[in-house]
Amino acid sequence: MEELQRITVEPLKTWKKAKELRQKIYENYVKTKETGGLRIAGMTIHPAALIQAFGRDVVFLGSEPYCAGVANWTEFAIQCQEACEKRGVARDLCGYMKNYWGGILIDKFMFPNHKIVPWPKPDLFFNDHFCCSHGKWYQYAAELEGGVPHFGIDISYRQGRNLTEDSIDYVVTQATDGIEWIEKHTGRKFDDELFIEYAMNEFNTNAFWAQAYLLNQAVPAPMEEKSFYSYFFFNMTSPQLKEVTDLFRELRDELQDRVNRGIGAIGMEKLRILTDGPPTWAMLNILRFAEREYGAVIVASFYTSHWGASWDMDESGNFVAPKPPKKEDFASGSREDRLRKYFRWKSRRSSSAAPFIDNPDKLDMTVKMAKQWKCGAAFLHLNRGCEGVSLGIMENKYLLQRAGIPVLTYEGNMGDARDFDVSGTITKIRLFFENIGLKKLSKN
Amino acid sequence: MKLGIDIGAENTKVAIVKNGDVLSLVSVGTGSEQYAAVEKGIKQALEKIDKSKKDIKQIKVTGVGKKAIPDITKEEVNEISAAAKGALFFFPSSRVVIDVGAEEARAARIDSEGKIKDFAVNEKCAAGAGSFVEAMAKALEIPVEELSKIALESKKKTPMNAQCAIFAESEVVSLIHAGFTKADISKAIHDAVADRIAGMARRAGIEKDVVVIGGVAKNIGFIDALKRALNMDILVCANPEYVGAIGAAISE
Repeated sequence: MEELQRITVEPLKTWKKAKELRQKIYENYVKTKETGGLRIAGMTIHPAALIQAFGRDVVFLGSEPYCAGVANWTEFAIQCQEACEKRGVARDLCGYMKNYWGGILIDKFMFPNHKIVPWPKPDLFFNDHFCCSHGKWYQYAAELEGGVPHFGIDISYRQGRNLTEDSIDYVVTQATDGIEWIEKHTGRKFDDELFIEYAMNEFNTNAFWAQAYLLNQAVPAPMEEKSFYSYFFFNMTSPQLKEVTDLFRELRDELQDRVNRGIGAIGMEKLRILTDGPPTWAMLNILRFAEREYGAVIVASFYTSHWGASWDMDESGNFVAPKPPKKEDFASGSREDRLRKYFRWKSRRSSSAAPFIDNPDKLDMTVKMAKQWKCGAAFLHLNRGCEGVSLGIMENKYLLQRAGIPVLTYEGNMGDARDFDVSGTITKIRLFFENIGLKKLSKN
Repeated sequence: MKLGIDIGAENTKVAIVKNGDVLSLVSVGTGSEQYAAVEKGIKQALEKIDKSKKDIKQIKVTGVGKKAIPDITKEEVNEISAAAKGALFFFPSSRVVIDVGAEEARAARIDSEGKIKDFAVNEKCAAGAGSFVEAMAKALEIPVEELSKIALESKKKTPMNAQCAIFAESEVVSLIHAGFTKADISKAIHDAVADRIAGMARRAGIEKDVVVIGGVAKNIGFIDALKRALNMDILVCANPEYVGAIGAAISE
């Protein structure tokens, strides 16, 4: 047993507001029809500002965060998964898709507070075809819903060195078609002023998230990954909303204050860990086990950093938060010009697409992140629930090891707890810590 | 004298070691009463060499049940470290230790002092462990020992795709009905287990020399299959199921 200086820990002040806002976003999605609003669902790397430009009463459901929430409540998730399997859906499909389709099949929709209401049928699906599974997700959902119009944009965003004008053109052309398609199906007009307003919110949301994330380089880290997961929801589903922009500004300021005062995420920080993709949402308690028993805290992940924020690199190759464009610069020019600027910004964020498009980028960035966030170890999730994000994990492992960072890989499933062995994984974590010489914390 | 205990899922092994010599080895069924199994094992191990508890200077425990005997010892050695120490005890050239027990399999890449460089554990499936072979022997209605021997008689490569012990059993039944000999099916079973273990071991990294320990290391059909799967020779000591207990006993 080892004696360590205890770090002062405080609850996050912004969390109460975040929790209320999350509940409100879901309630708005369900209730918006009562006042003539529109429900649109789709994948979360979506053009949020573009969709919101069809009216303030348009509410978008980002299906992955919803399905992650379902996965976190195992009892309900299993109802959804079994309904899919009864229908004939293969068990090894995307974990999130099963939680979504299952909700349609059993006609149950879950709020974050676990209140269940009848499934709210969307008016439209507007989706980014981020991966082959997600391309099919809404096509099949549209059938299960008894017919919902469905439009898909094939993403060719490429991050950093791989971004080309052609790939931006490819997306903008489809988005322009998408605007016409929404106009045709809703009778509403795309409002350029609203687009500018919401795009500016989205840029700032992404930038504040990056600024907040960078603060976690501090020792002790002011926030742990489980909390990042909780706030991350907003960046994934509603980054265009002013309330979200404001929340993330407050979060950044709160983390800055915690860093200034030496407030930590956990009482004893002995080991800082990097992780990668979506976790097994039903089993986040394994993170608490590592924190409580060993003082090992996840301080950063490729997932929450790169799916949630936009990034630039400085001359030393370090991640820095990008500056959002000025409103007058963004607003200038034609609609097509603005769409180009908008998708160019989003392409910075879509390094998340690297697992599907360009794995060397992910490999390079993972090692950079581990060093910049001062991580002494990495946990990598071999995710049976998503083949895309699992691609390249073992290459990441070897690369991190070559950089001198010990790595634990574990199998799980982000959406389906039935693919996760809790006790086996805890044993592996324990063995991993013992083998790298990390001793258990004293109980005193 | 130092005493090491390895509380496994199926058997509890006890080893008594003194000055680099193994004096006594005993294995008893673990059952549901781990504490009783350990007491029985220690008693038998001491009786074998006509010694008593007061002659023991150190007791260390490893294995899945190592937390079950705090009254006897709280000095735990993790399973991977015990395996590494035990493998080096028999083969100082060991650089990869593959431990295949009844319910679990592990592989560790180690240095010359037994420090773990990387490790991998089989994930949530019995198809890479001893209980799988036992289930298959039952399906073929022959003892495990015979199953392992007859695998060497087959020259055929019979594909068996099962990644799961339950499905593999039905696959074995299908092979029987398709007219495959028991020798061919046995080879297929061992090849399937070996492929799974080799895949796991590669995640930790393969370096010479590779040592296999645990009860399944006594299965010559499996060892033959693993040699082919890894395309290299493999070292196995005389009592591979006791290596973890010996490793615990000699741990500092």
